[in-house]
Amino acid sequence: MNAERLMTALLLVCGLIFLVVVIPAQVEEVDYGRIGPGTLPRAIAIIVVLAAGIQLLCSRERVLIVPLVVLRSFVFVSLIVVSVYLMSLVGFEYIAPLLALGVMLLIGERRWYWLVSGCLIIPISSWLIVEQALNRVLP
Amino acid sequence: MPELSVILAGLSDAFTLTNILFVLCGIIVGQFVGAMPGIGPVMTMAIAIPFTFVLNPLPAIGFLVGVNKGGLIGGAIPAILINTPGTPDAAATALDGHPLSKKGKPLKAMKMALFSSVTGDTFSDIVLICIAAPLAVIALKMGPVEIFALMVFAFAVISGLIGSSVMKGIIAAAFGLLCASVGLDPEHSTPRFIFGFFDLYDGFPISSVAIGSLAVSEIIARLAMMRGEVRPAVTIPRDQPVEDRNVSWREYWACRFTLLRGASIGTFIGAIPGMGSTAAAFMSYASTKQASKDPEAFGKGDLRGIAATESANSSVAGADFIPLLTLGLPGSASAALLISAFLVQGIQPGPLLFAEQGQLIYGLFGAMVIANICNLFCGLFGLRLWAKLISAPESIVFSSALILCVIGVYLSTGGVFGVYVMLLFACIGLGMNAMGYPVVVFIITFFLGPRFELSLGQSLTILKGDWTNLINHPIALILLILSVGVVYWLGIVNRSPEPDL
Repeated sequence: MNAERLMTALLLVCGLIFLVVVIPAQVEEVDYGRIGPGTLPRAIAIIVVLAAGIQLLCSRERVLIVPLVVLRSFVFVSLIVVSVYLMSLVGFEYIAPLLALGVMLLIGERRWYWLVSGCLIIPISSWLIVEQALNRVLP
Repeated sequence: MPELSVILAGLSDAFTLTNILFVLCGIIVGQFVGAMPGIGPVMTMAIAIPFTFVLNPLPAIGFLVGVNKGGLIGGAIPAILINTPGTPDAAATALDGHPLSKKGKPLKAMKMALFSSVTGDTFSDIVLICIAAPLAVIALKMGPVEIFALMVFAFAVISGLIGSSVMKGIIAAAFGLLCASVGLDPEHSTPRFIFGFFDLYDGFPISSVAIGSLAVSEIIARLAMMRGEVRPAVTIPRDQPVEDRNVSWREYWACRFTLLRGASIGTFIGAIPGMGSTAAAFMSYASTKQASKDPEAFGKGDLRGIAATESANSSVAGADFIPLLTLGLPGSASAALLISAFLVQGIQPGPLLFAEQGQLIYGLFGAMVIANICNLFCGLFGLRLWAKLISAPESIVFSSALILCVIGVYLSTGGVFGVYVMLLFACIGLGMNAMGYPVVVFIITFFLGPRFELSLGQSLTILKGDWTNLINHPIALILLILSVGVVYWLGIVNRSPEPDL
């Protein structure tokens, strides 16, 4: 089984879980009106299950998953999540330059002048414009 | 049809200094980012939308229209100079633009692209201005049942046309509708899929979903594949003879039929939801080559090749507005983002726009004309500058874009929760792109989800819960049958043969 079929199978299972577990638990049913709160989500989940089933049986596609790219994507997402969390604790003006620096270092930027300008210009100018000039709050 | 006074009031709104400046800013930003491979107008529009919340509707939408139109011209510059299209629709421009550049005429190639782009864009804008209002009058005659059937038909078309397979398109469309159902149910106001997060009572924030799935996912994908490579610097020689750096009137006029064909193809394709400007550019190129007496000249730096592709891909920008303004159906990612800009300004796109917001719509038409003029002059004066941007370090560009996304979403949603939602949809967008599920279809159905559910409820009430009553609504019935036919034709009959695993 290739990655394409594996993911489609996963999607099919997710659709079934949604139909059987999530919708009954997360949608409050009412007994009036032509269309209930669960009507559309249930119909959509059925469409997803059917379409994923057909895709699983008939798919001739092949997707290329490069593990290193997946790993690097995970690292970048984690870096952003941690940065946003730290921004809410420490403040945007301290963490945003570090986020920019981290991103630039991770993609292989080593020229010091670009590193300095990259981690100062946008983060600090945004902070100055939004918080100081426009008086709007940043994390 | 709006009265003449409304049309004139709208046009006078468009030609105010504030509005002209915002359109001009949009054009400059669009050409600037279009010239950088990797950051296209769609990503820029997604990032810019939260910053337009504070503006009045016309400058806000005028700015976004400027970004979109400017990006179409900017995207041709790296395609011509380094054979790397700044936007997907400029890929066809590289076929003749880059060989002409290699012959030592980069400025001539870029100017031809600029003139063709502005010509195609202006053509489609004129078509839009002429037919949008009459089409909206026809659309107003449709009831909820017909509108529901039309949405189903549009979903079927875009699911089939965008992406690698119709089933993946259907799954993406269904997922968009599912995400749109999060929050309070429109009919009974009961909460759905809240999972204990009270912030979800209003559903997923539009800006978080748009920026996360269209911009941040793309930024992360680019970052994950980037390994510190530096693009070559491009220099355009200054001491060239006039005929090598300028496009003469004779050369432009010789391409008039090519331009007209390209603009017509682009306008027609742009009016169909889901087809997109890349398809228009390649179709125009192929038809021009086929109609030519010397097809062997194409691919070797022929001006007609550039004229064909650029006039077609740019004319899609204006034609995209035809289904958007008349039916409220976006046909592309940029149109979907414009619909979100309308929604955040409290305006519901659709046929009623001409009756309720006629002044704004004619102001928008005026802004589009201004954008074309600005596009021409900014392009003429800025081509050399934009060419230098090609070698700008991507490290700064992408880290800055990422921070702007965080700021934009935080400001528009008013908290960190919106930023986390944006990151969730960035991951979803990454996964969808990796597995070949069209994110554009997801975004379009997500934006139209609440309206879709509302018209489904209204339709069921009108049909008294009995679908056999559809027989009394022949147009809706035909549209629903056509939807099934489209899915069958695009999914089964028209499926290209691929090797079995």
